[in-house]
Order: sequence, then structure tokens, then C-alpha cells
Amino acid sequence: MINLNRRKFLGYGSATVAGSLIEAPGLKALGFVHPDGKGYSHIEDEKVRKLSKIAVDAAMSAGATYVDVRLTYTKDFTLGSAGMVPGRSESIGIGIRSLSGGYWGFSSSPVWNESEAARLGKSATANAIANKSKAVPPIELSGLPDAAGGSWVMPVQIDPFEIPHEEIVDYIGGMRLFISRLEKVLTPTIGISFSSQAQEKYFFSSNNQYIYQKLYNTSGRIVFRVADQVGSSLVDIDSLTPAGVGAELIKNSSIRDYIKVHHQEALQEMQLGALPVDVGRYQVLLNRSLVASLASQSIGLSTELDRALGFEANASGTSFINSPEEMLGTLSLASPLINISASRSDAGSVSRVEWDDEGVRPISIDVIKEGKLVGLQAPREGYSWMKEYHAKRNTNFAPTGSVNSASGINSPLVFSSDLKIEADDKNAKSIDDLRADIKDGLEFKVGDVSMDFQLSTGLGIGGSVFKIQNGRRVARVINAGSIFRTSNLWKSVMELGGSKEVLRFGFPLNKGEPAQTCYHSVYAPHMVVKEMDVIDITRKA
Amino acid sequence: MDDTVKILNTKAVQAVIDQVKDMVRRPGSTDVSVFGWWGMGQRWARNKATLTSDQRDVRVLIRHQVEGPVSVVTNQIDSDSIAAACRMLGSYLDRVSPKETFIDMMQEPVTHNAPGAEVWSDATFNRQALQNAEVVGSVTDDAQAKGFLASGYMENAASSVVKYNRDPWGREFTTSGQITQAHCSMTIREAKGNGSGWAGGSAFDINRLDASKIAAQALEKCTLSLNPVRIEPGRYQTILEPQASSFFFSDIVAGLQRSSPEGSGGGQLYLETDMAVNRHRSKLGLRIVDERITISHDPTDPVVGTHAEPGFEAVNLIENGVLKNMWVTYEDSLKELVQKSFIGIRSSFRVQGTETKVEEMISTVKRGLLVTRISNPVSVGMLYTGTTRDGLWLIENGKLTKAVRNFRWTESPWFVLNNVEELGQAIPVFTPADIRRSLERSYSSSLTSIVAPWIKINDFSFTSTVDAI
Repeated sequence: MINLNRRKFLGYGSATVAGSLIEAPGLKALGFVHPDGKGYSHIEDEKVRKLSKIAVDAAMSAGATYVDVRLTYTKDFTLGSAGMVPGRSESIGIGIRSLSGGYWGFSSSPVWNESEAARLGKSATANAIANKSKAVPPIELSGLPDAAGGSWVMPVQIDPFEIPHEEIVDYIGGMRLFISRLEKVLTPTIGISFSSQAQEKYFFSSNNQYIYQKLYNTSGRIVFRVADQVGSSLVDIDSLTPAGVGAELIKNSSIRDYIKVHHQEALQEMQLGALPVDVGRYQVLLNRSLVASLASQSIGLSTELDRALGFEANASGTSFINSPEEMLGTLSLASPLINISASRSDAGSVSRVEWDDEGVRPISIDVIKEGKLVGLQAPREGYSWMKEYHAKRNTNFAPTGSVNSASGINSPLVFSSDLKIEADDKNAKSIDDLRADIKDGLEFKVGDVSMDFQLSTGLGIGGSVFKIQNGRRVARVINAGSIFRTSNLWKSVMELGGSKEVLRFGFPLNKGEPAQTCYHSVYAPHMVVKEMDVIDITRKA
Repeated sequence: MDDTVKILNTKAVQAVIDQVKDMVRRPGSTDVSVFGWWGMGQRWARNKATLTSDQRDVRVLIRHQVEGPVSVVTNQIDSDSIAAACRMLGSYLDRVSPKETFIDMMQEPVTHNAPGAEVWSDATFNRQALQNAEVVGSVTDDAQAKGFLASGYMENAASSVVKYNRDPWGREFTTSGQITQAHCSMTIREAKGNGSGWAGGSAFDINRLDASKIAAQALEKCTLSLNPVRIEPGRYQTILEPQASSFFFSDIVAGLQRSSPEGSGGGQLYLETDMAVNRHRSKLGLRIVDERITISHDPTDPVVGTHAEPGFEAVNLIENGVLKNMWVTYEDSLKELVQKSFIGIRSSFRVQGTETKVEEMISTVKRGLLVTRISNPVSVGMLYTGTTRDGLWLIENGKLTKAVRNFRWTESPWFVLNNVEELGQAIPVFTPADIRRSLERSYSSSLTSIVAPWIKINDFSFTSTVDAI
């Protein structure tokens, strides 16, 4: 609980904890201060442009053929569930990537000044040149159709760093009280957490492209348990995964209604008897959160071109799309019902940008079209990797704008864009309609997906599974899981829900050496799979 | 921060701590951690260097607790930034500090420094990108000559930390340390994906890492793993290489944290709760794993030791299968009022091996499997499930006979360590601790070094085949 009541809080007026009232650590000393003295003045400040240019010039003078620079200023605010412990973090970073003699070099640090920018520029090129004793063909980068650059701020309704943080604490305190008053809620089990990041990202390259963007990533979690003498059920609100929004993710007018719906569902679920899993093949209704998780891991990661070509083999793994040239356009890996696209332009998507970390405006591509692999997510360097493929077909390569980095300290990599699984609006079925069509099957409501390192097979771990008979849930099923081949599962899809019940889910993506984490969103409908191998996850061989 | 240094120097750190001490003068306890790291990485794939990087960063964590902890983190150490961070902390403490029970009991401070090991290497710190690039040129040539594709990562890194604490009674404690780390790992794959081999190693001194040997091992495994055949899942007598066995040992060691008798208890390390007094009792003094297993932590160990730090002393965690000691956090030691000092949680340990060579272990297997490495383990209840990766072979009548398609396995670390048929030689394994994230955890516990043995297990459970090679 907070130690501040609402009236007292409102009485504070402007004298509150908020992002705008806090000096940006380190930046004041560098002179990067807003004229009103209240905050950081962003990219239009010529100082940032000058710093970037010094780094690029130093790298080019040292022998680079191409250079790009990223500067980031990142603010984080977190409220942990245990006692709502607040944590606040701010950091800046500058990273220079340099191309020379067919090799990439990269140098980064947390110091923003002219001498450091010059040192990093020289260092990045020297790192690339260190490899030159082994001659390799030059890396060719695709052209930039729009190299003008510009500035863009992700639109959010409530900037978490522009409102008093007491307001968020107070709001969450109220939410806790609201939940505790719901029927049969065990108050000690209520957990509410909130975190938000605002990152200002600057990009400048030897193409003279200059970009400023301000990005947001907000997430939260609300869990609680309802119980009576018969049983108990865990409620985990599924709409609070990482998203490209502000504090409105949790602070909105509909969230209490949404919690009530989940709460009522949990009350009904706990009245159902529990059965041990009966191993076998079942028709399965997968709820949208599991569909999204499955798509993120099996389609998102596997269609990153660098991973498909083996550039990630020593780290997170490879891809079953191990011969992109042969498989693109020919590999059938899903039911004809399945259409999945990748883009970074949808409102609320966590990877949404106007330009990626290579200065490319992201394009929307079809990844899976009527069950066939038709697109891969590629960086500018993909032009070199796929040159022969495109020459043979007389087609043009286009980078997809999928390059990202966690901060200026990290080097840029391909991370899956946001994915959209096309819903079936012809039949426009709700989850109740989909369930009603199942005579004898299972419903996986909540769970997790764990893929192998090539993303070709996986394990579904059912957190909340129900037996369906004649279109109704009749029992809870304990310890159910599923093993599957990626393409078999997607090929076995027989029905999709309508777009009315499509929900956005955000997922972390870990990649690279050293490892870094970026995020993407997946929009998923509910889905019915004709046959899945259902196992007891606690049973050994 | 001086833009020419790789990691923070003592003078800069002391200035930060002095400023915070001066600015945060409130009742309660104050912690300041100043952490700096540098890493030089060499990444390669498809037989070619793909990125040579030099990264460095700083984190200053200021944490104050009156009724509940509030923390502020910045990566800027100039006085204006630290002043802003302290003001920010003050604002949060004034406005949104949560109410929590504060531990209000006195405890004798732990002031003695246990001896530490040599964990700094100038060779690692001064390593140049050119030297790493030469290694990559050589190892990729070998793979290329065989028509394979080599990928890998080599890193030399250094970090320093200073931690200051002022407790609610005004007593001050400062600890510090610096360490270097070197890692090298390689995956060599057949060009069409019909075989894959992996090898890796870690040490604080890069001179202790033999990249050529690691490359040769990965190459040999790739060659031996070509065209794997499918065999039935089931229970097999299984030899786990130290890289694979270390996962099961690590899981047990990570769980050896002692909680107070009033705590939740439960799990394999506790006896059933005594309902009469509503207290639970740990299994200290009881045998919990095979009697041939001894796991120890010694800060002075030349391979798995760490820098000197108060409260961290040599200790046998499991001795001949018997649970001898459990990690105790400072807070728990306060709650229990049972110890003057405490054993901090660390993830570095040594499992005692034997003189038995792997060839001898293989020679006594009638039908079994040899596992190089495991991947993506996830917990399902009291079990873990994951896959094998980068080298799995069938052993028949004492010989490796064929490469086998990878399996998903489902097993309990407790079952594994209670079904040991044989222990082999113990060697250091690849432990790429991410020093960049050390601030989020205890610095000491994040510096992982493990020496683990080959182990032969009866009835290891392989639950399904996987397509991945």
C-alpha cells in the first residue's frame, strides 16, 4: 500500500515525482539541457548532430567505407509487485558501427563528448580492419530508397514520464483494493507490477541520414487467485504484455471490466472437476496467447534471415529454414488458412518505429501466404547474402526494416518485426463458437512454448487446460502438454477465430553474442488444430 | 568518466560514493554499488568474422530503505548526474516509498575479508582485437577445408565493483573487487546441416584458453555427428559430458539456499513441516545425493575461486552425498540470529571428480548414449525438460557406434544425482556469465566458474526425438 492518500496526492500539485522534473543524469554536464531547465532537449539540438558527425568522420578517416552511429537516452520506471517497490533508471550510450574491407567493427561507451566520439569512431574501424589479413569479398549494402531521415515520436496517450509517478502508485493501490473486493479473491495472492521505458534514439550514418525517434515500451502484470472449498484458479490478465504504449496500458477505463470478465471465468473454471491427462491425439483449441507465443518463436525467429543462414548458430540457434534460397516461395509449412505478415507500423506494437536501426523505413511483408513461406526478415547486408537468389529470378532485394538494438551500447541485429496472424473474418467466430464446434477435444487456455534450437520441434506446456465435450468445458486437465513438429502443427490448423477477438501480445527476443534483448508484438486470433499429440509433461520415458 | 579507461578507477568510484554519502542523509540504510565493465568480442559465422566489438559501460545503483527500498540507477558518474540521481531518490522516498517491515535488529558486522583467488589477468585485459582476429582466421580455415561452416564467439572482458553500505545505525562497510574473464565457444556445422559439433571454455586468464584445441574438439564432434540415425526414445544408460552434467549440479547448488524455519520451506531440501509448531527443518546432515558426490566452494581455488569478499569462505556444500552447508543471505542470517557471519550465495563451485577417463566409462556401457550438451532446459513441476544438442552418440558394447538424432529429455536433477553409475574426470566448463547484468544480481554470484565431472547415469529419460541437428 502507498503511504499517500488521493487527496494528499492531489494536493501536491506540480511538486511530484515525474520524468519531466528530473535532470537527465550526465547530460547537464554536457550542456544538453532544455531551455526551461526541466528536461533534456532532444535531437534538434545541434550538439547531438555534431557529436555523431565527429564519430562518423573519425571512422571514415580511419578507413571505413560505411559508418553508422546510434545514441540512446533511456529512462526506465518499475514498480515491483512486492510492496510496489519503485525503481528508476537512466542511461545513455553511444555506439559506432563501421564497415571496412568486408568486415564490421563496433565500439560503444556511456560517454558523450567529442573526444570519446572520435575515439569510438577510430576504434570501430580499427576493429573491422583487425580482420583484414583474411581477404573476403566486400559486403554490399542495399540502397536506401528514402535516406532523408527525420524525426518521429511514438504516439502514446499517457507518457509515463510526464505524469507524477505517485499517480501510477496510487492507481495501482486502487486496483489492488478493487481486486481484493472481488468474490473469493485471496488477497495475499494479488500481484501487480508495472514497468515502462522511454528511449530516445538517434541515428546518423555516412549516408548523411539523420534520424531522431522516441520509443516507448510499457508492460505490467496482474495476477491473483480465487479459491473456495472446491478448488482454486489463477487469474493472469493477458492484456498487459510489453506494448508500444504509455501508462494507458494499465491506466484505462476498460481494465476493471476486463479483470471482472477474467474473474468470472475463473470462478466458473474452479467449479470444474480435475482430471489427469489422458495421453493421445486430440483436436485442440489454442487460445490466442498461446497462438501468439507459438508464432513468435516458431515463425518470427525462424524467418530472421541471419538466423536462417547460420549467423546465430553458436548462440540461440539455427532455423529449420536452413536453405532460404531454395525454400523461399516453395516451402509449404502451414495450412492454406494461415497468412502471417511482418511489419513495424501498427499503433501499440512494441517494435513500432518509423526507421529501423539501419535507417530503413520498415515495410510490411507477407511471411507466410496461404501456408507457404514467401518472405524473410532481412537487414541491408541481406543484399549480399541473397544476391544470387535475386539475380536468378530478376527480382530486387528489399531490406525489411527489422534491425534493432537494445541501446547504443549494443550492436544492431535483425530482430523479428511485429507479426500479424490473419483472422478469419469470413466466419468471424468467437472463442465460444470455436469451442462449440468441438465434440471431443482439449482447450489450452494458458501455457508456454519451448522450441528446440532449430525451431523445428517444440513442447507446449499447458498452464491451464480443459477437456471439451460437445462444445463445452467439462473438466480441468492436469499436467497436459503437447509435443509437435512446427510445420505439422501449423499445417494441422483447421479453423481461426475472427478479428474481433484478436489480441496483441508482446514478447522479449534474446539474440546475439554478447546477448541483448529486444521486443516484438504478435497479433493472434484463437485457433483450432485438428490433431495434436498431447502428453503428460511430468511423465518420464 | 575518463574516456580512455576500460573500467572505472578507484578514485572515480570513491568520489561517487563520497557524494552519495554526503547527499543521502536520512534514517534507514543506504547502499551504493558502482560497477564498470568492458568487453572485447570477436564473433564469426559461415567461416568469416562477422563483428569485432569493444563495449564498455557503467552502472551506479543507489538504494535507500526506510520503510521499503527505493532504488535509482544511472550510468553517468559526473557530480551533476550523481546529484540529480540523489535528488531523484529523495523524491521517490518522500512521495512513493512503500511500507514494508524493516529488519530492526542489531547484528555483528562481517568485517573480515576471506582470502580470494587470483582472478585478474593482464593478458586478458590487454588482449588486442588483432590477436582474436588471428585465432578466428585459423579456426575458420580448418573448418572450411573440410567443407564445414564454423561459427563462434570469443570474448575477453573485465569488470570492477565497489559496494558501500551504511546501515541504520550508521556503521559503514565497503567491499570491492575486479576480475577478468575470457570465453571462447565454437559451433561447427556441416554445410547442409547434417551434423554439428560444439566446444567451449572459460577462464579468468585468456592464456588458459586454448582456442585451437576448442576448435579441434568442435571439428571432431561435427565430423563424428554426421548423418545421425533415429533411435527409439526411452531410458538409457547415459554419459553426460561435464558441459551437460554441470546443468544438473548447478540446479542443485542454486537451490541450496537456507530459508528461515518460519519460511515456506518445502522442496527436496526440507523435511515435512512440523505442524505442531508450524516450522520446517532442512535436510542438513542428511544424505541427499549419491555418496560419491562432493561439491565445494573455495574462494581461493585457482580455477573456480573469486575475489576476496567478507563472509565468503571455503565451504563444503555436499560432502560424500551429505548436505553439509547451505547458502544463507545476510537478511536471513539476521532473521535467524544464528550466525555471526554468513555464507553468501555464489554460483561458482567444484564437483570432485575421479581419475577415470571417459574412454574407460564408455568401455563399460553395453547400450547407452553419450551427450555433449543440453539446450533450452525449462522446468515442468519438479522436472526439467530440454533437448540434446551438437553431438549425441549411441554406445554399443563399449564403443561409440553411430551418431544419433537429438532427443528431448525430461528428468529431475535429484534423480540424476541419485542414479550415478560412475564419476569421471572433472574439468572446467564453459560458463559465459554475463558480467553486464551483474548489477541486477549479486556481483559475486554472477561470476560463475564450474568444475564438473563426466558422469554416467542409469535410466536417463529421453522422451521424444527432435528434428533439429
